[in-house]
Amino acid sequence: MVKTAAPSGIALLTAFALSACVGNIGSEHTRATGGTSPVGTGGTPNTGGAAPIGGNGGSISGVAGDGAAGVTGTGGTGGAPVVLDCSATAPGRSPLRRLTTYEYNSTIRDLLGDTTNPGGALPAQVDSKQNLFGNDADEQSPSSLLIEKYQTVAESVAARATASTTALAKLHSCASSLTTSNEAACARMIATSLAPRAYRRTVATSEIDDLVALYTNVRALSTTMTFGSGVAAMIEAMLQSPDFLYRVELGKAVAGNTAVKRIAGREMATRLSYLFWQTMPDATLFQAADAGMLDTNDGVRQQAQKLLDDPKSHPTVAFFFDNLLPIPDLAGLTRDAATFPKWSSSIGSAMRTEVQRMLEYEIYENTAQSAPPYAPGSWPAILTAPYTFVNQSLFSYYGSATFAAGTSVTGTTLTKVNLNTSQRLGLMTLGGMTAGSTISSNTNPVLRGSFIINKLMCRNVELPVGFTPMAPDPYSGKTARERYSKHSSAAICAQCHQYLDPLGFPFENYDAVGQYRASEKWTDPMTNTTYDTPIDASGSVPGVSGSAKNAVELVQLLATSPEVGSCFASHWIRFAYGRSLADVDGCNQQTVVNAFKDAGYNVKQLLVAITQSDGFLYRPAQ
Amino acid sequence: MTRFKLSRRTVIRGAGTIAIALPWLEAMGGGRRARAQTTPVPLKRLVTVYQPGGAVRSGSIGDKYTPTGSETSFTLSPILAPLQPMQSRIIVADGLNLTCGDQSKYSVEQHQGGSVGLFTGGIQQGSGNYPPKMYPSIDQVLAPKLSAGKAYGSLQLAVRWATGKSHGKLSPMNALYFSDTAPIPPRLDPQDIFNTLFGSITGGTGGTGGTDPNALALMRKKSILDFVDKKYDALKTKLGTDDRTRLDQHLSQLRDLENRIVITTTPPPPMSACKQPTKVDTTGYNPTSALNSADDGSIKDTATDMKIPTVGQFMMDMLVMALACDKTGVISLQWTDTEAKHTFPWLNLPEHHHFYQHDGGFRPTECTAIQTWYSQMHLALLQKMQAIDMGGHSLLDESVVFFGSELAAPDSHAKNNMPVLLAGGTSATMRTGRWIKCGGVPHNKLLTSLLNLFGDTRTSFGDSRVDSSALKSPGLT
Repeated sequence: MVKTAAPSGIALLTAFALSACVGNIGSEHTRATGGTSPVGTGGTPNTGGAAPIGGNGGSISGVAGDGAAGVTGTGGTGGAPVVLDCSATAPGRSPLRRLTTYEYNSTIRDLLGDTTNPGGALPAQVDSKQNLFGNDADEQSPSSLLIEKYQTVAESVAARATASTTALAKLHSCASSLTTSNEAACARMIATSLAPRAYRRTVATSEIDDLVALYTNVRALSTTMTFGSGVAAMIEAMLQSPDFLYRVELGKAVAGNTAVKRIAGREMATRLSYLFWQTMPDATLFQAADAGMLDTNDGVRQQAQKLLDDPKSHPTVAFFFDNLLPIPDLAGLTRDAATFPKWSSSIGSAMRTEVQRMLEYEIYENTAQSAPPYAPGSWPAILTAPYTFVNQSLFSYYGSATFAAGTSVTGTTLTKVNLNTSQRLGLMTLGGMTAGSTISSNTNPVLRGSFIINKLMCRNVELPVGFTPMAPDPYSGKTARERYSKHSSAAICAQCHQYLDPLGFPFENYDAVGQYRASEKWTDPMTNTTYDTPIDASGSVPGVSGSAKNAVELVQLLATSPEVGSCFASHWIRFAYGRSLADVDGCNQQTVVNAFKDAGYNVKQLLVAITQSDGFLYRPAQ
Repeated sequence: MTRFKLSRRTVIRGAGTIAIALPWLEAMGGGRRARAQTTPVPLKRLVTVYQPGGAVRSGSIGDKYTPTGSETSFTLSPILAPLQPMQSRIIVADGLNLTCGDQSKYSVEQHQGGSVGLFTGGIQQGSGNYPPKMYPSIDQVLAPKLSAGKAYGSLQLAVRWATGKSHGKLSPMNALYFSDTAPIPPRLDPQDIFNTLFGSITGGTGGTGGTDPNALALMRKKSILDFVDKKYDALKTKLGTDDRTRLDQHLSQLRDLENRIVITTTPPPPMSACKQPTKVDTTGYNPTSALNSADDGSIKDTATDMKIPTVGQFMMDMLVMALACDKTGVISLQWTDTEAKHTFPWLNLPEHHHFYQHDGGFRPTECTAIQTWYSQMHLALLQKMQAIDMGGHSLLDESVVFFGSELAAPDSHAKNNMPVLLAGGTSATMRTGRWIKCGGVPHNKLLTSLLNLFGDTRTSFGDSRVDSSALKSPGLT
């Protein structure tokens, strides 16, 4: 948020820690939480992470600044890339992971056919900078309320699953021909069929005995306890058990190495299905697991490809981008109606689907090389794609000048159209991204630059201590560049803003509702004169030589940055591993990023490559 | 006619900082108590209440918050004026700085540093983060003692929570209460809270209870939880230290739940003060409205916002009755969060609170209206507590209520001179009816002093970088 400076601003500035802006190449990415501050929100000091292999001279785990004058961090540009010795098996941590609310809902759906999304009754998940995808195992400390709600949700799910003979018959057909003499046997058949799926592993006879004993005890409490109530008790018990709520991994012994275990069989099936489908394995995957097909690297690779090619992976990829990009709230953005009469909630909603469809198309469907020199389905191709998807209402919203000459779109279906590439190119210039990265009716180049530097480059830019961010003085300039000029004229601000602002200024050609503009209208509140000033959209990408005269050129520079490729990979690794990365993950990172690079930064190949890393194939021994 | 008054200090001088429950001597009273008490009322309950945005102390309409007068004879300002009927039961504390949440001293976000630090005295580490090692909040520190043998260790209630950028999720923008390991999510749905706390207030008769459906349901739950407990125990043996610790955290919460079943099955004799609160129709109020929030608060849910006063009163009634029914000794109420991005239709304020704080430029008149309304809510809470007879004394007599905010003032977002109110106790346990000037000291000292009120003898609390030794005179006693 921006606010006016306190009168004692100068006093505060003198307390400013000069080393606050150490553009950390290779540090863990931070999540710029919307408008928390004009500057990218800082992250926890950490021990390394996403390192650009063969990139800008960052060390894998080191903290390397850009060597800019005045920055007192450890500087350095253009050093030789560090290549690690990755001959040892080094999976890094494998903390016990609990199902997220999203995963809980889909697992209950696939286990019992319950489509009510009962996880909505669970308490709010912990959100923090570290937990971009909501699945960080270190941010899952259970609260008392959570355990209480697991019980009440399990009760309602079990009640639905046993509400009638039809429902019970879905658990096992024996329930449609019950007699007092075969009820107990039927309960056993239900437990035998359900428990291995609920626990995602083979189940010992004694465990089935325990479930049936529970059924028996509950029925014995009263003559009013029906068969259904007894079976419901077994289901409630299973749904609250750690074997269901947590992804338990014991691993298999590895010859000659007692420090690690191999993830194989059903444990690997579980890792694969939660990565690609965010739900429990289906029967086919369980069968493949039991047949030993997930016990080798190649076997895992083949299954990964299969799961990725299945339509069930599409929501997962969409989920990833919903959490990475500022698009979930587009339908709710409110803009000043007088200034932006064409904006509406349905346009915002349509813009979100535009972004999602474009990503889905490039990643899953495009076989042509739309953005040379980049391979189809690659992250740099997404950043420089010369097309998008619009329907008629989006087409008329954007206006025909947005698209290649002669383009025309009718109807409600999203249709692939070519962009006017003098105005727009790639994901970052789409309406949804430019509107979504603006938190009010005024564009903020710092916020937009902060999104790129933090989320797309994984450079950790911290809010300085002892400094209250100042809103741009409304009198000081006819364009945002002029209003934010203090960032470069004041040395203390420039330390960080020299990286941030040149990333955001090129996007000034897109207003707060994602429309293209060549000039900026501004009314001087003192004189009431309105100016219409051509926009200087020049900018640059830290770590990439050359400058851009507009966003179209900027995204092309961005696409060449190895940091950008490496950062994208690290987000997916974190999503897949369910934890943040540490020094010891250097080899995991290197394996994945090298494979990603070798595949021309193809997104699907990145996901498959992750399944070939030590962190996915192994775990430390319990 | 003058009355000879014994100062309480006269009596306990020499006893150090340990609070001693003294027999009430009528001569000690200021004549304000309606009835003479012959037995001391120990402090048994902690209530904490949060409101966002601080208090209006400067700007075009000046200071609307700070009282005038002297320590024991003061006039409440416009924002606090609604509390006048209970003035003798409150302490207005000035000169407490939220040092641990001060963005000019530490790398904290200006709101989050306040929310994370208010009840913990802990220091956030960077915007969007929790401290690397969690600081527990005072309510969680006191819960094992104050809620021993009760169904709930503590209860957290929140109204219109997790707005704006927090999007309905638990984050440093809205987390106020912390265990040793994690932030604590509050309960949001008033209907669900009612059903959970008061759904079967008669409780079961326990034993081999045959036909009582409540008792049966409880026995059934117990069977299931016994089974589940064993699964956690069994799995633990197969895991390494790290994972075992995680499972232990889950198991300890599970055991709290099992305990609650046991207590509910054979409850202690009900308190005479315990009555089922009236169930209020809260239709239109969406407790998780914020799941659909916009970062800038521009998605307005007027239907939900309109119900905030009704839901707030209902929550306070349930809060008070949860204490009166002895379900817990520690309870909190959170009015929205630091984002505060909801509107106030009943005050004719169409924008959200943060807009009036500064998003739309500082609007002191609107902020004052909001803060004054919160004072009305605080009055209602205190009056409800005073009206409950716990057996010769009121619920308020045996409780400490701590009202706080994450900022000192909405425009500056500064952390010096926080708006802090305390209420409750009796003059033997906490000397209310005062406006105390603490002299510009870290509020960690207040947290320590509050713990000391309950017989906790520690001499420090929160992050060790902040001075947290107990308040000297004028203190709470």
